[in-house]
Amino acid sequence: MQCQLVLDKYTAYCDYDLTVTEHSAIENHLMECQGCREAFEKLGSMVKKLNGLAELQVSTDFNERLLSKIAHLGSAETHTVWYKIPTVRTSGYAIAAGVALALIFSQWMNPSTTNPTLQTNSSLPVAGEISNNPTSQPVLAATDDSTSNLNDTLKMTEPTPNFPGQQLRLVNQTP
Amino acid sequence: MQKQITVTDEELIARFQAGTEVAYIELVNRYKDRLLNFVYRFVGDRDEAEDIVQDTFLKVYKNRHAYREVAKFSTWIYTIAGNLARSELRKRRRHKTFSMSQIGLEDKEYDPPDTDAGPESHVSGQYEEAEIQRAIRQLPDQFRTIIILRDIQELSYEEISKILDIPMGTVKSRVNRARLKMQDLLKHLKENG
Repeated sequence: MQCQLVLDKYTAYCDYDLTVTEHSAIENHLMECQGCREAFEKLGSMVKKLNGLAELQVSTDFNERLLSKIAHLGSAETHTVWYKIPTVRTSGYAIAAGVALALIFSQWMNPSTTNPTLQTNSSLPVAGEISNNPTSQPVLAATDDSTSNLNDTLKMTEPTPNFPGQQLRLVNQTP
Repeated sequence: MQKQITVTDEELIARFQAGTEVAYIELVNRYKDRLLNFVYRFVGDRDEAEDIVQDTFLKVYKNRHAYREVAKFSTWIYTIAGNLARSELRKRRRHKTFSMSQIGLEDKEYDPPDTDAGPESHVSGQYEEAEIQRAIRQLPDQFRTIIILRDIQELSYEEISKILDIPMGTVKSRVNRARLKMQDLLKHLKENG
């Protein structure tokens, strides 16, 4: 048996991972070959040294540092969420606001397109009537009632945009 | 008589996946020293090795739900640590290629680890260990990993095969070739049994 072939089988020989015939062939070779015998001894000694290398231990504050990083990781994740959700929301709001402004502006520029007259619901504290006026300037007229100031009637002759919170209903336009 | 309850790693990671953080701490305690030794033999720097082990556990924490019980937990965590160590070495090699002309040295000085053994035996012991560490670092990557996992960490062939994702026969033949290569690199050391 060639020496190199024997060396190639060193690990398998140590692990008893060879056939009986192969194992015996190596044993016979080792009995005859001093070079291979020494090589096997040196390999065995080296493996033993590797097995017995000094074991390192982590620093005493290892867990503490790790947990601190995890805590930081948690807050970083929270920030990510905090930034992500409003971004989506605000962009939605911005689009909605833009559309609303565009509608208001177009209505402002071209009031004749508004056919129905809107009047606030009578259940609201101030009774107001909004009627369509072809003039572009808004006119706020108050009809003075000498009997009671509380019954002042406000008439707005300018089509007004619909504000949130106002309850409006369609009324027939008086000629 | 003390009753010993053994919970497997796989049970612990399952509990951690279900939200029990104590199970995570137990896994950290089980693996921190083993991984430190594994990574240290890879990168040769204790502090750097500890940082890599910390990163490994952070990855386990963040990606706990990526673990499936088809593999052993040890296989999974060694794979993560090995990948991080290799990536660190690659980074260092790139840096070394850049800075070698300035320092003119192939490797930075070896920093022997602190151990608790007696001081006398450490004069020769530390030198020998330093030489072994140097030899390990001179091995090609595939041999280095295999010698660390088999001869230093003493993992089974099966486990190494799973970690490295190579057939068991390849593991065995690489172990033998790595040992012969190591022996060649250490032939200048005085034989002391």
